[in-house]
Amino acid sequence: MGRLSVILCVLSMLMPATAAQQGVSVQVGLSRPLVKLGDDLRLQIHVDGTRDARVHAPDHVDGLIFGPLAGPQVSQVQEFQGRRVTTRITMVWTMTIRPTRTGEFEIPPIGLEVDGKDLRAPDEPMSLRVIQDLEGATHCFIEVKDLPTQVYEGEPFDLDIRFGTDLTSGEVDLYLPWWPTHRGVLEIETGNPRGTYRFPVNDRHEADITELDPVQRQGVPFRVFQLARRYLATRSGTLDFDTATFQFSEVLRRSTVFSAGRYKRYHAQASPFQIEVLPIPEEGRPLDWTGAVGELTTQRRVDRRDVDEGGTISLTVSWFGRGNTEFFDAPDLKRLEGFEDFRVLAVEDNHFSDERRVTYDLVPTTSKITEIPPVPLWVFSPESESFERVVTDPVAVRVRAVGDPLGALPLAGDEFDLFDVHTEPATGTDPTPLGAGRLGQATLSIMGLWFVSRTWVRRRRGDPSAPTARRRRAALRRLRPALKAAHSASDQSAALAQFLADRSGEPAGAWLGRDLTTWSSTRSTQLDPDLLKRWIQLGSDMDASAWSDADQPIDGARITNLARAICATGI
Amino acid sequence: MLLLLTCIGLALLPVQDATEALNQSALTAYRAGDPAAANALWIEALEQEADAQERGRLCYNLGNAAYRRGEVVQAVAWYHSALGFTPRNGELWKNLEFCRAEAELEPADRGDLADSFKRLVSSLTRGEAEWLVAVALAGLALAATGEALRGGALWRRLFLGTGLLVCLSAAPLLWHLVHDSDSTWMITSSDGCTGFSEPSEDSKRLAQFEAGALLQELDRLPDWVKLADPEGRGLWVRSDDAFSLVR
Repeated sequence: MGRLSVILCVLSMLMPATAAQQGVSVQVGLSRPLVKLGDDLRLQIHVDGTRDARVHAPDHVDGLIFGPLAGPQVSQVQEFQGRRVTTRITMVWTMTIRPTRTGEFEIPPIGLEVDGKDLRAPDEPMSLRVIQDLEGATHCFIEVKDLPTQVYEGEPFDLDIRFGTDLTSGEVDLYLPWWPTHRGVLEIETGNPRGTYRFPVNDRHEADITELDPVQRQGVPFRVFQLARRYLATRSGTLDFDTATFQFSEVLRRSTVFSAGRYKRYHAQASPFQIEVLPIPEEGRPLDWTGAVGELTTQRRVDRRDVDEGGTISLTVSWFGRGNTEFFDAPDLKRLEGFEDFRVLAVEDNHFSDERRVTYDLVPTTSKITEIPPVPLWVFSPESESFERVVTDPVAVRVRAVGDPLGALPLAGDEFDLFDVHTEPATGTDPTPLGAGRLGQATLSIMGLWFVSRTWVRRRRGDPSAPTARRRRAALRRLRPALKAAHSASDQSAALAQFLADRSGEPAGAWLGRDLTTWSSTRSTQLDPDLLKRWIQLGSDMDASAWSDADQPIDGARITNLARAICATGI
Repeated sequence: MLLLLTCIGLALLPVQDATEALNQSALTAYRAGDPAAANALWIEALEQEADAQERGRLCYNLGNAAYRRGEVVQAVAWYHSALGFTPRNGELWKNLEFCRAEAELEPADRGDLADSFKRLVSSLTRGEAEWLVAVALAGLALAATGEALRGGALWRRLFLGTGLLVCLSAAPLLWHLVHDSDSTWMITSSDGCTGFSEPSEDSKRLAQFEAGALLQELDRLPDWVKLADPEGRGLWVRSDDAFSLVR
């Protein structure tokens, strides 16, 4: 049947949409009407017969937490009934509901918008009964330890949740409605080591959990786990923390490749709690209080105590303790009394869990300095509910005067005065400006001329960097060494032929024995008669020498001069 | 031509003599420990001087005079003005940074990449920047001729290389083209000054400018100057509290 449905679905995509649609129907219901506290259930919404449907957020019900709406999942099935094709479209949404207390609940009908019309379903409110998980309370527990009832704005407080079970094999889940963020608080690092385990929280997050030593509860040993976090209240008012639930799923049968596992769930709840956040009092607040709250102490250290005038001393001030060490402004030494003779070059500000460490690079500007003055910080103490001044001890230092007034170059931090006025008139003169416009015109002219001349040269003579063009330009240059190397008239004749070949682009053999008179008469511009006569005479002389027994070379200068004259004619 | 040059020289001679006389008087007053008198004389000389190098020297000396009078922020402003004429003067830069440190202002050159680049491109005067471009253009013209007539990979590379060189050498000139038109003012009142909505002490006070702040001029009236604050608003400031860096 399943295979048939798949085939029908595929066929439905291929067929034209001419099938008739059924009427719209809406079904809304709970997966279970009775649940144990700590367990969750699902609200299921089915809409048949349309693709155009939306679900509105459910009304608030005290004691129930509605999860995010999942869906819709849309399925479309086409069925053949004789010659008629029926299309069925189904949209399905689900929503998890988690009760936070026991009792009878009525969930109002859920609002939907279907085909543009608003409606509510079901007709009557949905009933839900939540009962205490008595068995879970026997096997599991969860509690909040040592929680303060009130804190001051900016004061850190610890949240210590402990939970445990006497069961051995199973899975742990925590449900904390205010996890991982809670309005009005910031989580701060404690520097504690990471937990023993990472347990799931609210099905979507994970938290580091530390396993503590087992405890006996009513004579039964329980494994105990701790979720510890430190928070800092950022605004005054009441912080509400809803019911926390610990769920232990005991494994009855482990899941395998072929079968799902079986679990039995136990739940335990911790009561909701509140913390009152008080504002920092205005009364008695010093003007230079920079936001420090807590029980802080301070220490200081320096990297050296004996320093030259203008040298650097690194003063590191640390504030420790339980307080908002990360969030107050460190004192600005430039504005503190006693630091007038110091120059503050740099400030490095670091935070390490319970410690704020600020390093000031101080430069003593005079040798009269004998100590680094105390660094004060106003802190609001929640214990005494008053502002307290936390002050470092002064640090005795010795600043040696630099006794080299003739030092050539002033060093960083050394006493330095202005370079003297310039008494002599300036020798150089600023070059006369040419004008940016002219330079722009020159640039454009260069580029334009380059483009025009480049195009003209290539159209007229072809590519000037082609091998034939390069040989032509180098012909005369190559002729001279060839003539020097020639030891006979035959060699000279061959060198001249090669020269003519390079210049004309013809093979060298074409110039051996050529009738120059006839060749000249066929050219568009005839050669100068004197040049032609010299050329013919030179050829005759070379031939005469070559064909004689001696084959003596003739005067090379004659050939070079003739070659230069031939080049001048443009051959 | 010789006659023309002689005439020009003779015409300029009295002005140069007068400027030099003022300069010497200012130096005497400065050495005598009267920087206020030196200041007045150098300002008079500055008004008469036309040569850029000489104007740079006078602005530098005026910076020293301002510092000796105890007006450190004004000294900073004079040094900034001098940088426009003699941007590579090492003593000027040292005095500038010294005075900025004294006035607790950020260094003019923090030494980071952006400031180093800015200092590099602004290290030439307008004339030098233009001549640099001209020399690069001459090289480009040569390479362009070779590339057009001879072709080949070598000339092509030379042509592209000189083209790139022209682009690089144009950076200082572009810097001047962008910034020379700026009319920047520095707040020199040691306690800062107030920005008014109108050129009147009775008008609404809209902002407080810190000493050393650099602002662009929008308008000017006797005793008042309208400056653009960082938010782009035009606010009026008393001229005595600010200093024009364009000299």
